[in-house]
Amino acid sequence: MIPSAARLTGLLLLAVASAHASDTAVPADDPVPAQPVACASSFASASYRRSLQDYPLPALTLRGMDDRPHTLEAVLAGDGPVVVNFIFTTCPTICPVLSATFASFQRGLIAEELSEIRMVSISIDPEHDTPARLREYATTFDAGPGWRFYTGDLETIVAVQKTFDAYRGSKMNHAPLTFMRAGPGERWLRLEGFLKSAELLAEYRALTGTDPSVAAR
Amino acid sequence: MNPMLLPGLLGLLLASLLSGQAMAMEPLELGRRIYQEGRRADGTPLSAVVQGDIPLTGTQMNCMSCHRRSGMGSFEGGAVTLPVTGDILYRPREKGRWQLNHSRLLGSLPRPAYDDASLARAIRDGVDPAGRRLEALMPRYELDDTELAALIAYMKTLNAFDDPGVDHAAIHFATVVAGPVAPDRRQALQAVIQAFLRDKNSGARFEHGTARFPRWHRERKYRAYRRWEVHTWTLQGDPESWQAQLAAYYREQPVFAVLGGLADGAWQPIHAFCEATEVPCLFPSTDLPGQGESHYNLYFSRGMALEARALARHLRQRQSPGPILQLYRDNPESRAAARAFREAMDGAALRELSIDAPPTAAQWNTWLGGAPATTLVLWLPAEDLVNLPARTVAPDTGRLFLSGTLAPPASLAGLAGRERLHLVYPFVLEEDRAQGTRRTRAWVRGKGITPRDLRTEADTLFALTAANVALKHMIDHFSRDYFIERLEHYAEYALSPSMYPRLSLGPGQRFAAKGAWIVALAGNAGQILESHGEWIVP
Repeated sequence: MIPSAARLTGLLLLAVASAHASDTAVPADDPVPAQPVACASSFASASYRRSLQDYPLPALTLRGMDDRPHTLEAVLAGDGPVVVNFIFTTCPTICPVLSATFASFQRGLIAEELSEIRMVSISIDPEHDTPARLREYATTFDAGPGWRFYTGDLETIVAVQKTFDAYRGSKMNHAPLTFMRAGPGERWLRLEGFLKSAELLAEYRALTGTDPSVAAR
Repeated sequence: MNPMLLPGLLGLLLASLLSGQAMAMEPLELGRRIYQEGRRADGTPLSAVVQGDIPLTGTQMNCMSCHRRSGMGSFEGGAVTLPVTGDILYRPREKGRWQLNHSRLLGSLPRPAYDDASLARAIRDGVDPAGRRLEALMPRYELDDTELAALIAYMKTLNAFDDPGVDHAAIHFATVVAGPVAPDRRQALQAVIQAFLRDKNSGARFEHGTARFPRWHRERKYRAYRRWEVHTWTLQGDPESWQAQLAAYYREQPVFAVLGGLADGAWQPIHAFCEATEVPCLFPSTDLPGQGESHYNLYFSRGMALEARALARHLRQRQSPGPILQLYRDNPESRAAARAFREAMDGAALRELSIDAPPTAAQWNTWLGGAPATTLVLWLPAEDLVNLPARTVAPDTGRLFLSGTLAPPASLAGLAGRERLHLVYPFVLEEDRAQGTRRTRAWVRGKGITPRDLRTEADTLFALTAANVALKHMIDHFSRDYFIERLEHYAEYALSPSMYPRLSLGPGQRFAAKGAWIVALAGNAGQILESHGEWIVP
């Protein structure tokens, strides 16, 4: 039987649809095909993308949970490692997971790590997320002392996101991103996607060269 | 049986006989609590695991966080949350022609219809009826059998029916004009609505006919087509009676939402009606928004309270603002500003004076001549500054702040000594040049409307445009909760020009404009406000 033109068109449309479908709904426990990675290959099978980046920090001033100004440099610098993400307090899907990941990550750190790490969450909805709202949000996620939240004026917050190549225009378009750096002058590890708590800890320990079994002794 | 238990059991039996209805509602209330608040019957938060190994509580994230109050889901960046309303879950998802266009909204993979057992399995074990694993981003909650059954019962009630105000041919809206509103503003509101409706209902693309005989790939979209009707609800007499008048209008013709509106005095009675009737009320042009719980009321800003809080924050940031004197008139706007300022200054030394006539030159000199210099906060119209001395009396004179709403820049143009004044101003600076106001003016001119009141025109056009964009994205799911959620999502994208420097909402946010300028009045002629000010978000 010779397929009619209409039937061919239908088949073509179905093929397009299924190609599109497989883009949007990957069964989550199947690893996503490995993306190009810029460093250690032991993570190549992970369901997130990783790369090392240079992000020169511009002179910007954020506002802390204490309602006082803090320069971006002071927020991110210091001797030890720093881990950064972008959130907002009324965010429906991405931020609660990112924040729960930070909370779980913080609980997984050993005492030596806890004393040196800085965890930084920067609001991308600064006009709604006042210092008071950030304090409330921090309580909801049981943020320990090493984990601080920042807001700022809108232009500054846009500039900070652009610094980390994290600006997507509207806050409703934002992507799940985590950044970490072993210390001042080091390169940033950029993690795109959702990580398991264990994966984030492993990335952190690989980056900072800490070995909890040694440190615990 | 233990005799001690008997009275208790008898009591329970009696209670269930007396209130059979209430007892039957209980699983639904438990389901609602699990879905919306992530809490168990005893109030403790649920526990869950997300991404395989990350613990969560129901307070941090619950069903409503992502699937939203309507159950219609959401999308944020690349994360798509599917709808979980009973009517969608209990139908099979086929790879039909409609899905070709809308795979992003409804999920893309076919699956059989859910039933209670497979839905329980999906929630508890994360497996859908086709045997596929749900995304790890969907938390797996610990629920016992009773909780799971209650949650499923609640999900079946989500968005099961279209909300009132929509029939097969038309979608009905209302706008509110409450009390003696200035004729210019009333006419501006009506002119914008009529011009918008003329375009909206013009059938320029033959929507009426296409809705009856749609092409196959657009069927659902065209079936959603409705003519727009906007009814004007005019409220008269004592504001105490407004809620009853609104209820009477609503009984006569239920509406899907209230768009824009004007009121003489506080918006509170309309706010209370919208909240109680669960009718979305969008962006009225008011400076006195309603107080209390607000799910269905969306506002441009907190109005007078925003100005008062912004000024308080500005003054508190200064090392020592010195003594502060607050003057106000005995009218609702002025009183509301004074009250909000008092609260926001929270214990700072503050003198207050309610006035009923413009202060005299002698009074101004006394207030301005003190040492240390007094900061004057004036919740007054420009007319009350008629006796303000043109020249500074003392060298160390304090600063004077006026409300941009109560004393609009245009009213200050001829004022002597105005360069010593500052304005708390929530609107765009350089109104003549700002893009938003220019676009509104051009639209008004283009529709052949006589310009009467720019703010009413801009506010009303924004409310109509926002409703239009939100409805387009809803296709034929005429749910008011979903409507609110789409508005929360899209307000960010500057739907339409407005009087405000920027507008933005998010889940649960009810005030789109969040800051105000502190701006000096310009010294040079031909310009009333300086082009730059300090932007304060209280």
